[in-house]
Amino acid sequence: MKNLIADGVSAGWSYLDASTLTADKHFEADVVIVGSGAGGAMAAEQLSLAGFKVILLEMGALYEGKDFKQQERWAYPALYQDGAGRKTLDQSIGILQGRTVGGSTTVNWTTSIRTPENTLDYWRAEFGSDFTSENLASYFQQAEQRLNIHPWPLPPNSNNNKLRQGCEALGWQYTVINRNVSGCANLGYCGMGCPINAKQSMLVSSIPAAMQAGAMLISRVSARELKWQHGQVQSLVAVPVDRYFQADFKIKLSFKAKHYIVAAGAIGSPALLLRSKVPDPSGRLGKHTYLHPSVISGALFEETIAGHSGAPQSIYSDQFVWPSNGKAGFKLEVPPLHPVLMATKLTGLAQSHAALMQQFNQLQVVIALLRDGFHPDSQGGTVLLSDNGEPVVDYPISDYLWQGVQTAYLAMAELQFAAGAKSVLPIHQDAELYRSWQHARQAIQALPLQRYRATLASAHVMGGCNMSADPAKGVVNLSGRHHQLENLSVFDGSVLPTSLGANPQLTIYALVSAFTDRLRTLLST
Amino acid sequence: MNRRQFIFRSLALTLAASTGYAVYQHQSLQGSDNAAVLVLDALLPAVLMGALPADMAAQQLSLAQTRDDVLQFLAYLPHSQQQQLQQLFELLQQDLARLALTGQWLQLADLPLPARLDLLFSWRDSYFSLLQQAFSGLRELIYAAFYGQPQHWLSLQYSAPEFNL
Repeated sequence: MKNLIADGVSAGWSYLDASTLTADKHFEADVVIVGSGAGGAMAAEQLSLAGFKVILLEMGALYEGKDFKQQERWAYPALYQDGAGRKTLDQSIGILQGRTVGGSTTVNWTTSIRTPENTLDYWRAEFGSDFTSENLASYFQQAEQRLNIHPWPLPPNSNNNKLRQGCEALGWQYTVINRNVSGCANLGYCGMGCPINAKQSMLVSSIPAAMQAGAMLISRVSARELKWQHGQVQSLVAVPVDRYFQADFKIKLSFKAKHYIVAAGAIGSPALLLRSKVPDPSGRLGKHTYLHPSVISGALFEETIAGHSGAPQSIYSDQFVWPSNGKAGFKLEVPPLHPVLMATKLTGLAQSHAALMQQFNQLQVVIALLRDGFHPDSQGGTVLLSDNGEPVVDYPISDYLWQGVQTAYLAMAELQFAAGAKSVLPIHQDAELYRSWQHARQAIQALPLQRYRATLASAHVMGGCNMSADPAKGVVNLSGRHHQLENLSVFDGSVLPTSLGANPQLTIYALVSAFTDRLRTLLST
Repeated sequence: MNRRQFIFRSLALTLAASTGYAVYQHQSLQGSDNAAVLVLDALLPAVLMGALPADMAAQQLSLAQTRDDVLQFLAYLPHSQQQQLQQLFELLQQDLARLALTGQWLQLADLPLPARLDLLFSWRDSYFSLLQQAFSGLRELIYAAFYGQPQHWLSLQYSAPEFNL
């Protein structure tokens, strides 16, 4: 087992930890990329291999293979935004988002799903998109081959198996998940960084390949402002971050490039563009931010579930993603069950909480990811800047989505009882352990649909710099290029015009590959 | 006074008025530096009831380590959230604000444990979103710090694989 990047750096690859700088520094390149996640790293690899001089910036630190510790108390502060404590403005939705070299691909749960047909249809109808399953197929295949994405061949762990059993008992649709792994030991610790380089994240694929081809990686750097005039970005100003990943303004890094790619995630990218006061005639910059707000349902089983062990996600159900009645749809999945993640999400206090935690290994959990952005009453949130320029998402939850929350609680409880649960606990402050589906159904229908009562979480942030053919309806065009600033592109989940109704990494790989193809042609001429 | 301070102070005033204490004496928001320590030391034994080790020495160690881990973690939060929490800790150490927030003249640490839990539940069920946020924020910080420590996994029958530890 190797630390690919550290070994490469020893052999001469170009790498800088910006927090070690003691004086201002200027850099020049053909392309500067802000963010090393699914979008930034994929573009970095393809542009470096095409011979362009690339600098890849990352706010997080460089941790890889041998550095990863399978303990949440290490992993969350080291690898996640705000130590995995990121929240929406009113703190009603927790947001899990990577902040490390490789971005969220370093810590995601490896679920790899092509963009749903219905989502692509909607983008074509509403945003003039030209993407279809057919013309994206080669990009999906390219990413699937590159990252060894394939159906998980081993039996699902018990947590996922209960999702499958519930679907089978009820005649609901389910699918075995495609995962981007090679030599996976079925540990279950994907969310803390893969310790054996089995997960084919950007950290072990595109980033080393880009560096091998000459790209420079700079970690622990926060991009602050794009300086622009006359329709062109002139330079990028950045600062190092301190040991707690807070921007440290004592030292300045400046970058000059022919082209600038912003790929800092769907909170970071709009934030950088907002701080830079780039033209925004559509008024959509930092707007229409989607979260797949996720509802949680716990269940206790007689047998051991041990949801911490084994591939975290190997089964999903799309039974409710595209309801025909126009109501909010949701995808059913399960999360990995580790002590901190569970303890912070489970309801109760003192003895009642401790009693639940003592049944940790009998606990099974289902999550319902609400598909937001497809309805007039589901137009997402807004990225706002604090006084010191740090972003926060304001995400009001509409009555339309609350109805989806209630339907999701009902579906998850029905599924868990069908899978043999002895009791079900919707994760809501007013819910109790219910011992029958009939009892649960009545009680769930009476639960208040209010923020702070229902525990909501998100692991997928999308939108905020949406693409559209028409400059009046988007921030970037269908090649990811900014509608107003000629040498600026956005290559990450922030270009998505809606949420996806599926986990986003494979969509981002494919879209960014398509964007990069077009950009490469442009830069070459 | 920033917006958050204004909201917290207004909230304290409103609550003081609603509990019959209409006279508001000016108190500085510059509370004790160790307000966070005092508040956490008071709340942890209540929040962690049922989860703490039975042995008294182990219990004290566990409480101290959980408090230290919470304090250490705060630095990773955005500055705005850090300020908000610090203001909450300080208000809970000031007489009148504490009265408004808890309905008690007593120091938090002088309340019996069930009363400290009642206080947290009253925040959870409050109409004021800031108190609801305070409930969920403190609860999350405390449980993350406690269950992040491997010595607390025994009762969960959980262990992590030991790569790179």
